[in-house]
Parts: sequence; structure tokens; C-alpha cells
Amino acid sequence: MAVATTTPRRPRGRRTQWQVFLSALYRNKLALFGVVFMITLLLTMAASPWLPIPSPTRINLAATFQPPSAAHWLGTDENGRDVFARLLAGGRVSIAVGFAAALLTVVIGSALGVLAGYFGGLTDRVIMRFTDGLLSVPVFFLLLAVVAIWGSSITVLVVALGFTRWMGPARLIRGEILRFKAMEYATAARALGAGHLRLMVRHLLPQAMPALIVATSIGVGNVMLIEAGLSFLGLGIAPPTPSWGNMLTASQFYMWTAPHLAVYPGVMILLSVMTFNTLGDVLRDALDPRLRSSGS
Amino acid sequence: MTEYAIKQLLAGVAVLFVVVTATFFLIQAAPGRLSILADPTLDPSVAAAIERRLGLDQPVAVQYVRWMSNIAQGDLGRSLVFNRPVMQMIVERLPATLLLGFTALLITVLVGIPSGIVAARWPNSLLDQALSFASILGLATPNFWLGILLIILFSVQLGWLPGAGMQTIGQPFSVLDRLSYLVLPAVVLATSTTAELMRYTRSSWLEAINQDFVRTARSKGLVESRVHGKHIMKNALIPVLTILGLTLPRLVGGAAIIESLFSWPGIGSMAVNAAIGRDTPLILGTTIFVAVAVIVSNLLIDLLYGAIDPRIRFD
Repeated sequence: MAVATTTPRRPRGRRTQWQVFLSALYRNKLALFGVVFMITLLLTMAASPWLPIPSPTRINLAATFQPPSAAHWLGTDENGRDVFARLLAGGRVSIAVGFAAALLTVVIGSALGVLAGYFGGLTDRVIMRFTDGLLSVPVFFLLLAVVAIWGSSITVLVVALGFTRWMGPARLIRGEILRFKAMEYATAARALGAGHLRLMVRHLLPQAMPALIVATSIGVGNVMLIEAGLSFLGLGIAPPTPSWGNMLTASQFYMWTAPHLAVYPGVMILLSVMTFNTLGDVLRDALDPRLRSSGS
Repeated sequence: MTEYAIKQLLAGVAVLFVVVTATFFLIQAAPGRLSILADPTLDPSVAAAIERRLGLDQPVAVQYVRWMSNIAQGDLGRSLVFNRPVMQMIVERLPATLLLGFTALLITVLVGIPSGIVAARWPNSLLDQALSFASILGLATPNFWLGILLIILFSVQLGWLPGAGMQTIGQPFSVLDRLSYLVLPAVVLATSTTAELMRYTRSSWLEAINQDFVRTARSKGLVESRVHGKHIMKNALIPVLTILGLTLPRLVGGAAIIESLFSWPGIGSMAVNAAIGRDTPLILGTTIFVAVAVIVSNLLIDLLYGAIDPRIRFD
């Protein structure tokens, strides 16, 4: 505990959370590289309507498998479509699905995690047993079944991924709630007459915010990998809508004639997933170093 | 120990019950009808026949009881496309999946644990940093993409290894031939699990280093290699066993994509084809079978864990 002195409450040299984050980011070169990559990518995607690139869906069978040129920066694919434009359009879909599904996993995970941590006892045991149990089920097969029965669309994908990947966030948030529940401010709020719901939503959940942010970042990477796998198998994002996963499906058939087509989408997935994973590590270190050992 | 075993067993059964119930309601909640029945070109009488065969014309409660009792008896229904019992099809293809899965598990353990130990033995060294970079890459690489790249390199460009199937057609079975088909898919399947196990071993090892008995061992004057080789090893590797259990679902799930990519005739590629062909009983049956297999293996690992480490039983 600090000794009481005459220093003001916010002493000089104390850094804001933002500064802590930036310096942690600067120390993790891989994450720094990832963030620069992601910002560049997002800006390019946002600017794509004004860039001199063709439509990602314009087919030109007279100009298939073109090498890179001024008109086609990364050449063209098997249908003569511009590869660069498709990478941008596909990225928009893949990243959007990743974010939407990761947010859903965090919403479901925090609802269950807060309930388990706050009420404890039987509620906690039932929820956590179920969480651990679902962790031991091969979720990919479950997703195959969902897509086979419901057909695949972006909505089905987001909902299915959200409902099958919430276990990590739930465990993380539960641990946080257990910690904050025991603190004086929670007792004080209860003494002042705050009900269960108010305590959970207004007092405990906001404290777990750093954990939520970390879980979202790591979740985006995980979800993007699964979405890419499903789309690659033809069970995720369906053509003609491009996604990085389904661009690789086609490349599979041109491994002999145009192996370079297999490189670009894969590199994009790799870099994006790496960005969100390492960013998760940095956020964890910067926002809440105590989370480091508990993992996700 | 018995109490611990019973608790784990009950939890396993409860999870199975939930999974099987969830798959049942997955069908029930399908928008309108099963997507295979929504096909407008399908003759109405055929659709009605399919519904009758699946028992979809019965009340939900009746269907649920029948679904549960069939599965309890090991009856997973019949494939719509092949008109054969799902269980029979799974049993036929299981050996191929087990071969691929166990090889990948072997690679995961043989590479993941030693490299994790090496990284923790000399933390922050150049070697540690290189291994950590490799594990970050391993966890971020889509395994099917790595598979495509390896096929392009080793099958298409170099011609060293076959890129599809399980053995050379028209040739009698030989171990060497089988191995040449096994290498690529097994390595690809093992990438992310190896990266994960390495990370976990490293942190488990570093945690063990800071414990009291290590200081005691050092103060007794033991050489560093003996401190690591004996005292830390015992304590660091027990938690690794749990993470091995958690990598099983990842391994099995990954097998679905990898088997499809390499045309490996296991239950993973069968499940993917069933999903593409909208063969509901086949995909649901496979999912339930795989869930049971993984939950039972995890149960065994938990029991083993309880037997090795007495602390866990009194948690």
C-alpha cells in the first residue's frame, strides 16, 4: 500500500491507459506490424470505391490468369476477375463476419460468465460444467451439421459461430467477476440497496471491460480461421460473394497452372489472424496484467 | 478416487445428453423444412416419403424419445444418399481417421513438448524468440492453406510426395507407400496443436521453476540440468496432460478440412461430403459419434490425471 503523502491524486508521470497500451504495442514488434497492416488494409478497403481498380465481380474470360499489370495490380484469376479487388472485397466480408461473430461470443459468454460468477453455488457449477463440456465437443462438426440443415448464409454463420465459441470468454469473464465480487465497492453497492441485476450490469460487468476487449480481439482471429475453413469447403460464404476462404477453394484447382493464386488470400488470413491474436496479447498486458496467467 | 471418477463420469454423461438433445432441436428448429426438402424440383411424394422415413410427421415428443432411445442403442439412422446405416459407414472409415489422428497427435507431442521445454530452459534467448515466433505463425495459419502450399511444393513442383488419397492405386499395400501418403496431411493437421502445446509447455515449465521445491533443489547444490531434468519435469508436465485433452477437439475438427483437402477416406471427409450433399442423418450421426469419442477420451484423460496428481481429486 502506498504511504499517504501530499502528492496530488494524479501524480506527474502516471500514464493514461492509452499511453500504457501504445508503449506495450511498441514493445511487441509483431503486434505493431500487425496493427499497421490492419489499419492500412481497412483504409484501403474504405477507399476502394475511389481507387482505379476494376469491380471484383467483373468477369473477363478473354483475360484469365493475367500477370500483375497497371490495370490489374495482382493480376487476374481463373475468370479474369481482378485479384486485388477481390482481396479487398473478400477481406471486408471475412473481417466483418469475424467481428460480428466474436462480439456475439463475448455477449453470450459474458452473460453466462456473469451469472456463474455472481451467483456461484449450483448455478456456477451447472454453467461451468456445461462450458467445459462444450469445450470438449469438436465444434467444427457441429458447424457442418448446422450448415447442412440450415443452409449457409452470413447470418447463419455468425449466429452458429457465436453459439459455439462462447466458452473461452465465459470462463475469462467468470474469473473476473469472482474477483470483483469480493471487493469493497461491490459490498458497498449492495449495502446501498442495489439489486442483483443492477450489481451485475452496472457494477461488475464494466469492471470486466478489459477482459471483454481481450476476448473480442482473440475471438476475431479464431472465428476468421473457422469461417475461412468453412468457406474453403464451400460451406461458408458462397460465391459470387468473395471471401478469403472461398478464393482458396478455386485456387485449389489451378495449382498446376497458377499456384500464385493460392498465396494471396492465405497470406491475408495469416496476417489478419496474427494481428488479432498478438493485439489480444498486447491489450491483455496493457489493460490488465493479472489476466496474463489465466489465458482464454 | 472413486468419488472423483463418478463425478467425472456423470459430468461426461450430462454433456453427451445436452449435445444429443441440441442436435435434435437443431433439426426441429430448422427454418420451415429441412433444406433438402425445400428443393423445389423435389417431387412432393418423395418429400413426404423422406419425412415419414425420418419420422418428421410424428409429434415432437415422440420424435425426441425415439431419437434418444435409438442413439442410446447405437443406432444413428440411415444415410439419405447412400441408404446405409450411418454407424456402419462410420466404422468402415474410422481406421483411416484414427491413423491420421494418432500420427498427428504423435507429431504434436514429439515436437510440441520438447520445443516448449527448450524455450523455457533458456527463456528470452534467440532460440526462445524464434520458437515463439514459430508458434504465433502456427496458430495464425489456416491449416488447409498450409496444406495447399505443401501440395504445390512437394507434389506439384518437386513430385516427392503424393498429394491426394491413401495409397497408390493398383499397387499392393506397403508401409512405405502408406507413409508417403500420410506425411503431408499429418504434418499439416499437427501444426496448430503443436504450436499450442509448445506455448503451454513453456509457460507450465516457467511456472514450475518459481516454486519452492526448485529453490530447495538448487540450494542442495544440484546441477542445473538435474534440477530441470528431474524436479521441474515431473511438475510441469502433469498440467500438459490436460491441454492434450483439449487439443483433441481441435485435432478432430481439423481432420474434417484436412481429410477433404487430401482426399483422405476418413470420417472427416465423409462428414464434409454429407454436409455438402445435405445428407442430414449422416452428418448428425457423425457429429454425435465424434462428440462421444472425444468426450470419452477426455474422461479417460481426467481419470488418468486424477490418478497421477492427487491434488486434483480434492479440488
